[in-house]
Amino acid sequence: MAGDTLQTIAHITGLIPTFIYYSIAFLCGCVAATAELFSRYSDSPGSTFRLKESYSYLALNGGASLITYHMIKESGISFGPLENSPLSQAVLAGFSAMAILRSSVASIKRGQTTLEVGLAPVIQAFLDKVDRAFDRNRSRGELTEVGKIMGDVDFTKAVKDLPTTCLNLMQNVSKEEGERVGGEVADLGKSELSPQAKALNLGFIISRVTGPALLQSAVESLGDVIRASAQQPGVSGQQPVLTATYEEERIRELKKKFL
Amino acid sequence: MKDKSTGFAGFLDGYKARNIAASASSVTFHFGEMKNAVTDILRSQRSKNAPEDLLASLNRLSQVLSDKLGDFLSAAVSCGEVLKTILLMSKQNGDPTALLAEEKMKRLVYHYLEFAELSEDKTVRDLAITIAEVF
Repeated sequence: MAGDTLQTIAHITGLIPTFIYYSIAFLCGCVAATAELFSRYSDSPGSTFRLKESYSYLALNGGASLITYHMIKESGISFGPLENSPLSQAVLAGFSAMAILRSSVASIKRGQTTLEVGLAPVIQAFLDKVDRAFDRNRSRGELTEVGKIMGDVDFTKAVKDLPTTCLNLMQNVSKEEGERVGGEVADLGKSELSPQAKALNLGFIISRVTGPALLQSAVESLGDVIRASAQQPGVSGQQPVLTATYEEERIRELKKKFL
Repeated sequence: MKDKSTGFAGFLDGYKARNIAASASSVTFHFGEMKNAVTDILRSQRSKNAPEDLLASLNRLSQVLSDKLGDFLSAAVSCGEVLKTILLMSKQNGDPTALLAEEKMKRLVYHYLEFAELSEDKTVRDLAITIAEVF
């Protein structure tokens, strides 16, 4: 009896290291997934933890890491210096699981369509769910917050000054991202939306890069330079009169001379 | 260390480039009209025995409009600089071949003003205003 108990204790004790390594693999998988979510939603990374879909994605990554670690352990694949280090194998499994499982086993072409065979579509479906949930959650808060910030901003005055100021305050915005924002703002300017809607959407475009807090600071700092005047209310008021720059007005005058 | 101005510099480039791209057909039209006007002016000035340096400048202008090296904005800046030089020098020399009076020259300047308005670029707009104010 005592012998059986001791045997059981020894068996469980022997399993502890294995349990620890599996846990490490799981945690590494979760960390990798968290890093991915943070980079996808870089303007508001903290809010990813308010979504249950994010936890499903973390669990999926963690589960994939467990499977990968188990496969590495059971298959006896050699990783050179890592061969005798269960800890290194667990960490490797954790951080590489999703990359491995996302690879397609095969691609089947049917007409114009290419079907990827593997777990990639499943993983993409999870990611799409997280994306949609994040968008819904973010949109609710964003509309109220950005609406208040851009309440009395005149789009025609702010169209270049506000994004330029905000992006100049950020030290880690790449040229490519700046160009992307520039393109979106140009498209917004040429759209048929009302001036109030344009001002609101300008706020959305900027806050997705800088966050609403910095947007608010920039709007407050620029003050009357971008505010709609009393006769020309902004988002919350009536249609403002478009104001042209000196160059635009001068060019329009000069064109009449050459017609 | 990352250049911290890249974000906002990228914004201005992206903003201007998208505006030009959105007006691509208008921009192409104005460039085409400017090129035709320069060709006509060159023919007319040759028939008036204009000085070689003026003809060379007009040829250079025609080349800039034809090649459109880089992008429309860069070409417009080059074109504006050459045109400004041609007009200021003609005015300074008393305009012996009546270059400023030519209808095609006015047509050229008109289309340059139209392009400047579309471009939303300060350099091009300033050039356009300087050129138009020569007349």
